[in-house]
Amino acid sequence: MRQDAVLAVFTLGLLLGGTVSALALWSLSGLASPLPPPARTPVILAAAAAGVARELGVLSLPLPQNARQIPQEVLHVHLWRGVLQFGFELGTGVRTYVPSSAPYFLALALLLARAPLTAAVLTGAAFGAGRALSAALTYLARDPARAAAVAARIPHIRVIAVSASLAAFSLLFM
Amino acid sequence: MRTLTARRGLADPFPPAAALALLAVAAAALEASILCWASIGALAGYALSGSV
Repeated sequence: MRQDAVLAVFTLGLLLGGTVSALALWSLSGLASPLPPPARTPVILAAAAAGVARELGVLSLPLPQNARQIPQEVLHVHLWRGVLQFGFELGTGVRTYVPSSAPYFLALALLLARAPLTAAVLTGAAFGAGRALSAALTYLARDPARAAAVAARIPHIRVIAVSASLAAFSLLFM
Repeated sequence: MRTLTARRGLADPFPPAAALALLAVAAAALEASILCWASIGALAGYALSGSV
């Protein structure tokens, strides 16, 4: 089986999964409508600041993640459908480990910010694309040391992710 | 040799995160809100590198 074809189907699953989650959050965002924007913005930014503090190790904050891995059996029944399902479940961000603060902050922002539908759809797809980017780089680099490089760098990447989100939303909302 | 160097460059997980972070902040500064949201989405997904 061609690895690039597997990666393409996996990526499609990730894009779909991210989009579905973002749409679900956007649909629920109407529940936040009684809150005036001046009340919502500080909550979003405070959550991002808490995420930065958590990633820096200053704040101990357990994440409400689904602490399980997607069972490998999904790949055994029907390979293509399994790869798609595997990508979809990873893309939703609710079916497996999510050890970074950034996706939680993003979910809260989608829930509270009343973003336009286009923004929500593209944000969800981009979330899936971000996950796919790592897999694509692993495939393209063909470097057995990449997994160790990712493990060493990921704490810094998580700090950057949530810090940049805080900075960007501060600029956008204030 | 050049191919090998390019592949080694791809192996470093840091540059994409830095590029997405810059894009998100720049988009916010330019009030390109949809690009800002999408960049933050991509960054959140990329921050899960190595996690399955």
